[in-house]
Amino acid sequence: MDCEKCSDLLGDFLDGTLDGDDRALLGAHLDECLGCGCVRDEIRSIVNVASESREQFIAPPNERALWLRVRNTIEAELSAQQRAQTAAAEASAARRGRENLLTRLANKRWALSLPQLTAAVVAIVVGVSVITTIGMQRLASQTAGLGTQPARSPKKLNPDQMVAIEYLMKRVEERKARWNPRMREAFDRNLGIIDATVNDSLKELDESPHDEISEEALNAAMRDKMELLREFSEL
Amino acid sequence: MKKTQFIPHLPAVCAALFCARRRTSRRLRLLAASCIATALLFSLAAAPARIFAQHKFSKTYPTRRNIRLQLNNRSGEIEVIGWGRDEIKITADMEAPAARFTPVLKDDGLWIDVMNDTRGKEDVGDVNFRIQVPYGSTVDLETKRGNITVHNVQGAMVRAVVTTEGDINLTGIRANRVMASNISGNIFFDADLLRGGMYELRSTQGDINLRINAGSGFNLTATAPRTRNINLGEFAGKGSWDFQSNNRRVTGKVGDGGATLHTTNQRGSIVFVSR
Repeated sequence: MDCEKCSDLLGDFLDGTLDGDDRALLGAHLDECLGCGCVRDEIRSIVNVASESREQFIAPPNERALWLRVRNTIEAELSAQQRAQTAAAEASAARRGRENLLTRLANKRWALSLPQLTAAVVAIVVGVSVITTIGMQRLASQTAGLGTQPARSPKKLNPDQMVAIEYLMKRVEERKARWNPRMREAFDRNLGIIDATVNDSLKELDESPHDEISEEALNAAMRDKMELLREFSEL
Repeated sequence: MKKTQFIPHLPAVCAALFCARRRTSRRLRLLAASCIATALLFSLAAAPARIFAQHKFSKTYPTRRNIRLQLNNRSGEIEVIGWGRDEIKITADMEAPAARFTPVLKDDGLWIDVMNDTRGKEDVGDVNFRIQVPYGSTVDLETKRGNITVHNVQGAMVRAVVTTEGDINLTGIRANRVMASNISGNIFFDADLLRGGMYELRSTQGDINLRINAGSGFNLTATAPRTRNINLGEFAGKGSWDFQSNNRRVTGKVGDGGATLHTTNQRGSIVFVSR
C-alpha cells in the first residue's frame, strides 16, 4: 500500500469501519511509514479530545437565556431598521406634499371672471403708476438742487473723479486760510468759472446727450478743475 | 504792485523843522533838530515792515544760445524777453519777506521754482519777474496767478500756463511748439507758424486773439462752445472751412496745412487777424 491510498483509508481505519484485508495492509503500512504513522497519531489525538469535550460544547450552561439574548438582539436590529424606514417614508411624503403644492399652484388653471380680471388689471396699473410717480418726484427733487453744484450729476461725471475732487476740495479748504487774500479771491473766482462751464456743458448734454463738443467741454472743464484743486491743495 | 512807498510822519516832521528854523534862536533850533532827528528815527523804525521788506533780486548767468528757462511762480507777473546775448538776466521784485527762490543753473537749463522754495509758507505775495534770455531759448513758464508776457523768443518751445487768472501775451514768437492756457484772462498770440509746428491755445473765459502771418499754412481746429464766436478774419477767404455743431467748432486748412493749430475758448471769443 502506498501513502496516498493510506490517507484515503485512514479515516475509516480510525473509525473502525475498515474491513479485514485493507485493515491489515493499512496497519502494516502505518507501522512501516513514519509520516503516515504521525498523521494517524495526530488525527487520533484530535478525535480523542473531541470525544472527551463533547458534553461541554453541546449543552450550554443556560440554553434558554442564550436564545432570549439572541432573539432580543434580532428584535432590536429589526426595530431600528423599521424606524429608519419610517423616517425616510415621512420625509419623502413631506417632499411630495410640497412638490404637490407648488405643482398645484403652477399647474392650476386660473379661471377668472371678467370683473375679477378687470379689477386685477386696474390694480396693477394703479400700482405701477404710483411707483413711477414717486420715482419721478424723487429724481426731479435731486436734479433741482444741481443748479450751482455741477459735480452732483451722477450720470455724466466720473465717480472716481468726483471722489478725487471731494478729497482735494477738503485739502484746499484746510489750507485756504493761509493764502494771500488776492490768491484766495482768484481761486474762488476761477473755480466759479470752471463750475459754470461744467454746468453749461451738463445742460447742453441734457438737451443733446450725444453732443460731442459738449462732452469734450465737460471733460476739459473737469480736468481744469482737478488741476486747479491739485495745485492749490499743495500751496 | 506799488513801487513807491510813503512814510506818513515825514511831512509833519519837515513842517516842524521849518517852523523851528524861522522863529527860534540857534541853540533852540539845534535842540529842535536833535528832537526831530530822534523822532524821525523812531518814525522810520515804527513804519510798517512791508515798506522795507520789498526787495529786488538781480543776477546774470552766462549760458549757451539754446538754453531752457523753466520758471514755476506762485503769484505775480512774468515777462520774458529774447535778446542777442548768450546770458540770462533775472530781475525780480519780491513783495513779501517770505518770498524766496534760488535759481539753479544746470546743463540743460536754468530752473527757478518759487512754488517749491516757498511751499507751506504764509502770504508769500507776488514775485514779479523780468527775465532776458537768448533768442534761441526754450521757455517754460507757470504761475498760479498773474500775467505772462513772452517776446522775441525763437527756441524750440514756448509754454505759458496760468492756473487761475492772468493775461498771456506771446509776441514775436517763432517756435515749433507753443502752448498757452489760462482759466480767465485774454491770450494774445502773435507768431510765425512753422511747418510741422504744433500750436495750442486754451482759455475758459477770456478772449483769444491770434495774429498770424498771412502766408502761413496751417490746419485749424477752433472751438468756442458757449459763444460760437469764431472770427476767421481774412483767413475766412483763404482756406476751406467746415463749420460744425451750429458754428461751435470750425475746422479747416489754410495753404499747405503745414502747421497744426488748436484753440479752444469755453466761454469767450476766438479772433484771427492776418499780418
